[in-house]
Amino acid sequence: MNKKFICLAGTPNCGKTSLFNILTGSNQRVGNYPGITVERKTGLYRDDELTLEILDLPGLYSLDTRTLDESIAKNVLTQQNKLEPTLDAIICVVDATNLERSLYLAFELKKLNTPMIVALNLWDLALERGQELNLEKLEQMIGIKCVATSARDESGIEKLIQEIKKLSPSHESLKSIDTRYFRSVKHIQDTFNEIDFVLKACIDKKIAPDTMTSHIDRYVLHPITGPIILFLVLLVMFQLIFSWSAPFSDAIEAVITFFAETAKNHIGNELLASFIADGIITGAGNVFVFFPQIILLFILILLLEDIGYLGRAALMLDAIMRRLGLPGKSVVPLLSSHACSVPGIMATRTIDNEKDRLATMLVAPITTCSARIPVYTLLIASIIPNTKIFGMLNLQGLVMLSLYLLGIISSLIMAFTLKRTVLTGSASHLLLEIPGYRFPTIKNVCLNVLQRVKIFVKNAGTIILLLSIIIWTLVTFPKNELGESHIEQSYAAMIGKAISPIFKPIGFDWRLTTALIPTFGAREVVVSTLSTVLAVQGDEGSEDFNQNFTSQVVREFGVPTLFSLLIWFVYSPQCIAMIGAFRRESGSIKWTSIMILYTFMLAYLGAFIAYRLALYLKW
Amino acid sequence: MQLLQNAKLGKEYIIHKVLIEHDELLSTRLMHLGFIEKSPLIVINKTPLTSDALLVQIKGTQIALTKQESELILISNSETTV
Repeated sequence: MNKKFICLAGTPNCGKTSLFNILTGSNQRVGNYPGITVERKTGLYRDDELTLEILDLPGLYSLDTRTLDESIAKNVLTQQNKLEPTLDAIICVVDATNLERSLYLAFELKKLNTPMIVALNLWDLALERGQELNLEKLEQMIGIKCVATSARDESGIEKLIQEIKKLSPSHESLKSIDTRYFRSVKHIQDTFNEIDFVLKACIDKKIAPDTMTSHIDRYVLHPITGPIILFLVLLVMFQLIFSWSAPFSDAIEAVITFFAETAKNHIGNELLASFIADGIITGAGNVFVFFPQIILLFILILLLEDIGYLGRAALMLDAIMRRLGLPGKSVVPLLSSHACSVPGIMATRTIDNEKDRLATMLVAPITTCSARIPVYTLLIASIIPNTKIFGMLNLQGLVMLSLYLLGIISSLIMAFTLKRTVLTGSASHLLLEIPGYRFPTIKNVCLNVLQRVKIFVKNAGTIILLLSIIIWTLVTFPKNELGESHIEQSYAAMIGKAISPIFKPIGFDWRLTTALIPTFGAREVVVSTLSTVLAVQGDEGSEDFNQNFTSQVVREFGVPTLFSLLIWFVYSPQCIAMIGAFRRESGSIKWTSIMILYTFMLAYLGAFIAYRLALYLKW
Repeated sequence: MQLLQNAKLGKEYIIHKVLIEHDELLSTRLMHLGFIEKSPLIVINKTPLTSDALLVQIKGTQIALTKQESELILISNSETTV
C-alpha cells in the first residue's frame, strides 16, 4: 500500500483545521514538537490504495516567520526539522473568498519545489457571494494543481485525495533557501503584483462584499451596543462555567462517591479499601469532576471562534488589557478562572505570544475560583457579624465581594509587575485578521473539544491522580496501635508540626498547618479536615454543623488567625488540579515552581499583614 | 500624507509607504498581510472601548491594528470616498 507523509499549511482562518478534521476524523494524535510546548497534530487517512499521515501545521502568513508556531511550520515546510519524516507533499489551504491575500503563501511555498496542491477552501461561500473563477486558467498560470473544497459541506475532499494519489515525488531536490529572502520588500511587492495579475486574468466575476458581516458588525463593534454584547457574552461564559456546569459536576461527584462507598463496603481489607476509595477513586474523581467545566467552556470558545466573534472580542478588550501589559485575549482565561483555574489555564491556548500566555497563566490562580467559596463562606460567618450597614447592605456579603475584588486587583497588579520584570516586552502585537462571520461546523467543534478533554486526561489527569495518592498516603499513615488512621497522628500532622514554626508569624498552629496539607487535593477540604481536628459535631453542610464549626474555630484559633487564614486562601495555590494543568500547559517545571513559590509568598505576606492588622486593631 | 492612525472612518486611502526603517520585523509582517505601497484601504472601525485600535479593510480582509502598528503606515488620499 502506498504511504505518504503530507502537511496542511495555510494562513490563520483559512479553514485548515476543519479540512484536517474532515480528512482524519477521529484518527488524530496530539503531541508536542520535541522540546517545546507547541502542539503537533497528526492524523491518518486510509483507503484501499493509500495511507496518508497528515500533519496540521500552525497557521502562517509567510516563510519569513515571527512567532515560535510559525517557525515550527516553516522548519517542517523547508524540511529543516530533521526529526520529521521527509515531506511527500504540501497541501496549501487558501481562503477562496480572499484570494488576493491568501494566495501569497502558496506563491512562496511554490519556491520550495516540494510537490504541492492548492486547496481553495470555503469555495461554497465564494460561490454564494457570486465569485466566478476560472480554475483551469489559475492552475495553468500558477503552475500548481488547484482543488475547490468546502469544509462545511465536505465537497471536493474526494477530488483532493485523488490528486494527492496522482502526485509523483519531486525529482528536483529541495532548494536550500534562505528564508530571509522572503523579508525583502521587493519580493513582497513583486509577489502581490503577480497575484493581482493572475487574479485579473482568472476571475470573471469578482466576489461581492460580505454584507452579512458588515451588518452584524454595525452592532457588534458599535460604541454602545458592542460593549453590551461583549458583556453579555462574557456573562454567559461565566454563568456557563460557574453555575450551569454545577449539576453535571455534582452528578459526577455523586457517581464518584457511590463508587468510593461501594469499594469501601465490598473490599474486606480496610487499608486496600481506603486506598482504592480515598486514593484512586477520589483521585480519579478530581480529574473527572472538571469535565463539565472544560467541555462547556471549550464548546463556547470554539463556537465563538468558528463564528468569528472571538477576534472581535479580543479587539475590543485589547486596549484596556494592553495598559496592564496583557493582550485582549487574556480576558476569557481570566474570567474562566473565576469559576475554576483549570479551564482558565487551558483557555490561555488562544494567546499566541508565549510571554503573554505565561503571564496570564501565572496570574490565573489568584483569581477567586469557586472552590474557595465554601471556605470563604464558613470563615466569613465565623469572624464577620451578620449585620447590615446603611440598613440594606449585608456586611458578610460585602466582605465576600471584597475578597473577589482583592483577587481581581491582585491578579492585575501581578500581571503588570510580571510584564515589567521577568516577562518583559510589550504585549504581543495585535495585528489580527478579523474573519467574516460564518456558521460553525459542529463536527469541527466536537472533534476539537474531544481533543482538549483527551489532552487534559492524559497530561494533567495523571499528575492529579499521582498527587491524590501521595496526599492519601500522608493523611492515612502511620496507623495507631488499633490499626486506625487519625489525621492527628499522620505523616501530614508530623509535617504540620515540623513546619508550624514557619507559619507561627501568621498565626497558624500545627492543627492549621496540618489541615492545609489535604487541601492540596481541593481547597474546600479544609472545612472537613478542621472539623476532624477540632472534633466538630454534626453532619457537614447541615445548619448544626455550620453553627458548631463557626463557634468552635473562633474559640480555638481567635479572629486574627481566622482573618489571616481567609487572606491565605485568597492567594495560596492549594489545588493539585490547577498545578497539574499549569505544568502541562506551561510545559515547564521551572515556571510551575515559580508559580507555586510566588503564590505561597503572596499568601504568606497577605496573611502576615492581615494577622498583624487584626492583632493591632484588637479584633 | 498622514499616518494611518489619523485616518477618517469610512474614507478610502492609498498606502504611500510602510516605514520599514522604524521596525523592520513589524513592517514586513504588515506587508505580508497586504499593506504594500499603492494598495487601497479603508478604516472601517475604531475600537468601541478606547479607540486605540483600528479595524482596516485591505485586500479583501479586515485587519485589526493597534495605534503603535498603524503609526508605521503612511497613507495618502484616494479619489474615492466610501
